[in-house]
Amino acid sequence: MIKNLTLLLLIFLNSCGDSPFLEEKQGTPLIASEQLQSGLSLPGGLYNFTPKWRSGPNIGSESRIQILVTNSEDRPTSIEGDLTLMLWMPTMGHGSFPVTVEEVGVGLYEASQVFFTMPGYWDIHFQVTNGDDMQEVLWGFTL
Amino acid sequence: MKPKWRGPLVVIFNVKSKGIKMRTLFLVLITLFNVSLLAEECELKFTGTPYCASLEWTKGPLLNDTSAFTLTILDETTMMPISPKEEIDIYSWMIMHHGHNHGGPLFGFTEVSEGVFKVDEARFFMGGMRGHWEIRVDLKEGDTLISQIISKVPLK
Repeated sequence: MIKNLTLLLLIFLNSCGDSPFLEEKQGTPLIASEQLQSGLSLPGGLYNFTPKWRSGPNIGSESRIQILVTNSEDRPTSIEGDLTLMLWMPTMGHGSFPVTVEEVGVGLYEASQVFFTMPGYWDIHFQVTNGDDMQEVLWGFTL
Repeated sequence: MKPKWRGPLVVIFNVKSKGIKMRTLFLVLITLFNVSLLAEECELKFTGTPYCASLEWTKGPLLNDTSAFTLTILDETTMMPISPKEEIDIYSWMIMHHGHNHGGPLFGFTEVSEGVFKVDEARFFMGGMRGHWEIRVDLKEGDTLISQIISKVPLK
């Protein structure tokens, strides 16, 4: 029985591809898709982010993202603290111009000045800062 | 007894007394002054064309904020602003130390008067990169690059 389970586990593990997030810190939920099938959840599930492209994603010119933030009860909620989006290209080791984030309604945020300067793999870090505490979740995709 | 200093007029008067006409001296001085000013106005040369350009920062340049500048293209002969007959493209370019150079956030530009182009939203960032930014201006005919000027962005 144990042998069979071990064999199944090995087959399952071998069927997984390389994660582009393997070098990211532990505990960060990993999602690699340009179009999200579900939202991004912070560790602990305090907030869930559902991003939607309002413009783009473009290379060179500005892209804009609308973000719906919901709580653990799946209701739109304003973030206690600050929401920051940071672009990062892990393969190149650099970021981009600072993204501007504005709350336009309860739980509804607009991110502007999103500039991807080259094609390739990008991460968008959704960071929530409250005092000294910072939590983040990544959205990764290839342009 | 030491002669008293009576200002530049006395100097010019003395020069005149040595046989050099004051008017000639003035002309030489004014010409030298103008030449130095024109050299500043025409600091960027479009090689192989009759054009040169000057670039003046009106905001910044700043890191992680928008910057603005005015680019003036001049006829090298008349030193008057001129709209080149070629297509013009103005953009930023990052020169990275390890050689992976690339463009920056695109910005629009407007020709506000003949030969005078304004850029209001240039964006520069480092974001972990090592290198420097340039403003590049291309003169093109279709896809063919006719000439290019490069100006290093003096970010502090």
